[in-house]
Amino acid sequence: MTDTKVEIGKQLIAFLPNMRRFGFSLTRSQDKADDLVQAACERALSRADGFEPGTRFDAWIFRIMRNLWIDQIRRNRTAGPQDDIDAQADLVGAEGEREVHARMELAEVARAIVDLPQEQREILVLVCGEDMAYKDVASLLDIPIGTVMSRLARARKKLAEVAGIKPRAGRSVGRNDGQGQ
Amino acid sequence: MNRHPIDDETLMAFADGELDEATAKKVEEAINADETVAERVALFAESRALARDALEPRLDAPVPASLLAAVEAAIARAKSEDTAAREADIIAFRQRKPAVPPAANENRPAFSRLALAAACVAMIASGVVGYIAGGGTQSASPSRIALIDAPGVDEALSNVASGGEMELTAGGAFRAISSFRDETDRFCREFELAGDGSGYVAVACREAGDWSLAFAVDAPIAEGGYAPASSLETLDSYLTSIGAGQPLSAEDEAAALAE
Repeated sequence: MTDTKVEIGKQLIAFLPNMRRFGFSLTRSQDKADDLVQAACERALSRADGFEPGTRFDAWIFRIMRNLWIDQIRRNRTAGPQDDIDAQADLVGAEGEREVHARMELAEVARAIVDLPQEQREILVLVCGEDMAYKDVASLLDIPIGTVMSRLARARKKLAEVAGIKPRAGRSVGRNDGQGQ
Repeated sequence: MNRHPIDDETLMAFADGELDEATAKKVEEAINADETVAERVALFAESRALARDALEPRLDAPVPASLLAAVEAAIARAKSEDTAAREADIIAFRQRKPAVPPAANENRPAFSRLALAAACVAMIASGVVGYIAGGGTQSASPSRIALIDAPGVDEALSNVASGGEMELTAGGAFRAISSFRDETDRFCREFELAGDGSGYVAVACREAGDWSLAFAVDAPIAEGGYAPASSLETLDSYLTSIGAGQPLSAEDEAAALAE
């Protein structure tokens, strides 16, 4: 048992950057994200038995984070998400002086990601940031894979639009999965 | 050509490599037949790359030292709690035999009666709350609450003021750390027993004039020093669990000792 915790502890430490990023996609505030990461680590350690070796550690810990965040929202409905969009822009802006145009475009995309509905943003981060497969995301979020795909497609089209990537007008064919956004 | 338009989700799945072979083949055919399908696929390929690049800086951002420290502390805490929990459910104290290997005992004969704890952490049972570390069953000396039975410990508990020390007749040193009352108002004392580089941090409580050992943790006590932090964390968890009050003042302690 202790060995499990030692192992999970190691994985948590190594995975902190990804957890912080996913936390930001949930909370839109790096401070809140960090609090969430810490709480998730504590939860993960106390429920180390819940992790089955050989299964995806990332999906497990992301699910813990997400559940904690949902709990938190439920407990505290009055405190809406605090954005630190400026911090987001600063992060991108600090990349360096070269490729100014590309950098500005990326900053705009980063901003657009922050502005996405949360249900699209978290999926975008899991698929495009964490390279998770649709089915893994669907199982992590407990939603049908079709919903994952429609939300993700919507998010990606929005980003493409912000970045000035456009298909010829009238060719986009959406899918209605009845799950809202 | 557009009689059966392919929806965005399918084209995105194609760009993401998520389609089964048969569907992927259909999309390929559609791409070859219709330039606009190719453009729509390209949109999803590019948007993925864009999202990945835009998200990348958050991954490169350094983890704040405070967060790292908090997580490391949580890991350390989980380990010690886990050790205590694992050892809680096993052995009633009176039934167990010391886990210290005979060789170790030979090196510290004066402490053989005290050498009842396992190599890492031992929580010793007394009364309702009873824990003991376990594992080994090698040694010959059967131990009841050997620690408290060691000649002189009882006497030291009843007389030595916190901060004070007393040489035990059986060898080793008794050092009184603090006194407090637990949630049932028992008078309890935290103390250390040290000898030959090994030792215990322990808590004994007095009931009807008799001392009983409530807790002990094996603590390799440094020369002239006190027990290491890891032992103390276990002790802290224990003290919290019994609702230990604040340490008594010297006056209150003296009064309680005189009772």
